[in-house]
Amino acid sequence: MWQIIKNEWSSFYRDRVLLGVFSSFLILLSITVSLGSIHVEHQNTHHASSSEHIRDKWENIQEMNPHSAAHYGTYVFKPTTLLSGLDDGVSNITGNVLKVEGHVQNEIVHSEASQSQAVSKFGKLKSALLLQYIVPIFLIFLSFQTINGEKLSGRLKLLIAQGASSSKIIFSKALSVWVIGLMLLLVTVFMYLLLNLGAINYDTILRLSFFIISYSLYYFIIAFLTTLLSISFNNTSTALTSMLAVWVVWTIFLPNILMSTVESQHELPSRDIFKSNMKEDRSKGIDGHSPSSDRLVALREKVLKDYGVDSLSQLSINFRGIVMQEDEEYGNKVWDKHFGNLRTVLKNQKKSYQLGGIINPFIALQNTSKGFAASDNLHHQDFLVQVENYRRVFVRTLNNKDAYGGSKTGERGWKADNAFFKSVPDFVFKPLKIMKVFKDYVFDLAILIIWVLVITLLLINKSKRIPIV
Amino acid sequence: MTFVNIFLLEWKHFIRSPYKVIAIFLFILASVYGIHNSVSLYQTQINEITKIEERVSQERQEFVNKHLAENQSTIQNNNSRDYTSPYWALRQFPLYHFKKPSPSMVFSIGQSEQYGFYKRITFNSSPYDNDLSEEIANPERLQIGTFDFSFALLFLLPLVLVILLFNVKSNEIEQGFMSLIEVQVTSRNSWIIARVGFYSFLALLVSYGLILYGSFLMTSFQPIKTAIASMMLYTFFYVFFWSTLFLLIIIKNKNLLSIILQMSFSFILFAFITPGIVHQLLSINYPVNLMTDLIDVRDQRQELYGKSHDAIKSQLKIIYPQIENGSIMNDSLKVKSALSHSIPALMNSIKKNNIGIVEKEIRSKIDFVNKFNILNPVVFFQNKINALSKSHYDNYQAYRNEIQFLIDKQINVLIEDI
Repeated sequence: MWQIIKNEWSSFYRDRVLLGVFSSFLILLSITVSLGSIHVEHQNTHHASSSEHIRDKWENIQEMNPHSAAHYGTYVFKPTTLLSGLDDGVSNITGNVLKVEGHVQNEIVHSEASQSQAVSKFGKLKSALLLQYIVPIFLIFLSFQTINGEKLSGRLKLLIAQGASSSKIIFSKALSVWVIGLMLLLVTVFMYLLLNLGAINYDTILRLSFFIISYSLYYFIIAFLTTLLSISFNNTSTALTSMLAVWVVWTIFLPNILMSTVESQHELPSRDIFKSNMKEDRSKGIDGHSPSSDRLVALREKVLKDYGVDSLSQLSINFRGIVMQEDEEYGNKVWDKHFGNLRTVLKNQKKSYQLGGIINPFIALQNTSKGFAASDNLHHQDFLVQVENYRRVFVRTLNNKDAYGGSKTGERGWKADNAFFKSVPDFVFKPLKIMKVFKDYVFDLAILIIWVLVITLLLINKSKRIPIV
Repeated sequence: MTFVNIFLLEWKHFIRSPYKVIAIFLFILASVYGIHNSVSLYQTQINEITKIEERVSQERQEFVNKHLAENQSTIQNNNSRDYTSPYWALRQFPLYHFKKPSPSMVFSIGQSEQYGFYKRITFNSSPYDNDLSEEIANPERLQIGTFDFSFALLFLLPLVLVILLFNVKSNEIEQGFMSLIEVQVTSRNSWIIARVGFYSFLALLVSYGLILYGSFLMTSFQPIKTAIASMMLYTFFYVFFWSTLFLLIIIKNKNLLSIILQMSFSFILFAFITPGIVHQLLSINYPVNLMTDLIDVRDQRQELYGKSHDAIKSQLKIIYPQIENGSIMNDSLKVKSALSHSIPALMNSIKKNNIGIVEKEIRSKIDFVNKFNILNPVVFFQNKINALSKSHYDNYQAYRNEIQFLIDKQINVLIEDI
């Protein structure tokens, strides 16, 4: 078997056209990895300077009332993850700017896609674009050529007639093509590691390993399925066009249709309904700006009792800060309910879409690729949750300052000093560790493995039944 | 043998080639699916707009019934709130402005899922407010994109042409009757051109049929007559582009594999690689704008609120010299409150300056992409179709401009009240 693989590679090496295409792929993949790394570097520099600019603004507040500061707020920009140089997933679509302020959980806005006209339907020239769409086409042609060449020249029949095992020959040929795909993949990852050596950590290594595993499984499916079709059809053009049709259906047609179907099955609310429902639920709480509700009266009574005084003017603290925080706590419940519902629907959509991998392994590959590159919706949602958690700490810090920082109830003109604003912690993004979310990709990997097993069994079965005459 | 004869012969060949018939059938099926997706989005947007209009109208009516009817005083507890005055009426009942989808959206959804299509307009609004963001959607679905007719036309039709054309010439060579054809037809190339012409004509005819089918689905057929004509013209040039390219590949090559390889490579080049390179270069040259210019407006607002009434008045007079002669200006009781209420007018002016910076950068991005149009035909056609479907960036920019115009108009009402 090893001898057949070696023979395949040497004949591949002797074919100038194929060697030229392979070399072009190597060059293109290297350029892509370099451009991806340059893009991430540029974006990170821009992100760092913008974040610094916003933080400077915050730290330069000389004096301001803490509640006014909660309205003034701050901004968090979505960071570019290192692995988005390989696959930038949903980064182009999702917003990048999120305002952190009191009273409201804002949505992330200003996506890259909204800042220009249509540029490309399938995204930037990242490694993922080549590895997902183009390399499989190359493997299809290679697999087709390697089997078809043998069939047309009659060498396949000759080898079988001489006693060689037909399944071994076919299997080795498919394996030799798969290894070529694997080489392209490994070169890409190696180039990527080389360009980002300083930033690589344990989590990145793990992510890259899973990235390699999922692509190698997909390439196995492509190489073996093309081989299967090539030996199944007598007509050469039927075999090739069938496999190209499979490629079109898998990569262009099905992902689009399945995702649209899934979205109509698990419907998301319209923005207007979403906002209206939140507004309605929110209005049932304490409105910090119109202190007249029953809940507010109850809170006032409780605070007066706790401090053992009869009126708000006797309090040594500022009651408004307590009201604002109480209002925030209620608001947080409302945000958790509504944004939580959104996340549940998105999760259900993802689960249903993953099922599509059963008929289309490309879906499983796409899911794992952007998942392991930390650029899928799951990672995006984690970023949003981290910002929301930060917002709650940020607003609580300001409300506590308002309540217990030295002002008394009714002192609207009271202001906190610059030292306080400098002491409010900045947002620190903690990248999600892959092992924490690995379970979300197990199904996709399992689907790819099942596809590999099924295709292998089919190929073994078919290759045993190749007619010699 | 005349062209007509070759066409008739090719028709027979076509209907006897099941995979070619299946390819066309699948293309029709996919296009019809795409057309219905667009119609569905069109209806969703129209329904959403209607719902908002009804809600706003109901809220307005409820307020009028509660506060202004039954001989109640028009002036509420607070003396300054006279809801019958233009300023307070606008403050109480903010207007909505919509970007109503065009019926020509049936051809392309374009960028319509990346932008909002309704906006509440107040004195403090800006065309870059958060409430103008896109509808809630799964980002992974948006990344994959919605399947519409333009997607079928731009990405599936070239693949259908590959299936229809890949064995033109190679079939004749492999079966050994090319010499016979050369005797019967003036030249080998005329034969190939006629065969390619037949399939191109077939692809064009099918596409035109689909365009008409989509158009008839829209109830308001009349307003999109120009869009239909433009769509047909773009389709013609698009089919012509791919047919010519594939014709050259067929003429230059003899071998079936090299023909399929080159056709597939040219598709990959124009559909994936060139747009991907342009997109990547764009991102490197213009990192995503984090809108710090717009964010910085909040500091200027803080400064304005800290300024004296005299300073606000002087700034206002520069932009709106007419306020000098306003009645309130000479009313010492009302002038302070009026000037405080006028801060949004100054803010609007500041915002417009900063928006100008952002929009200038976006324009440079678009110019950058357009520079590559000659090498990037698929994206060129994509943007042309988006424009005729009123779902191009420029259409949303025009919508933003309309919003800004309405904000300015409201601000003028505010100023006139002074």
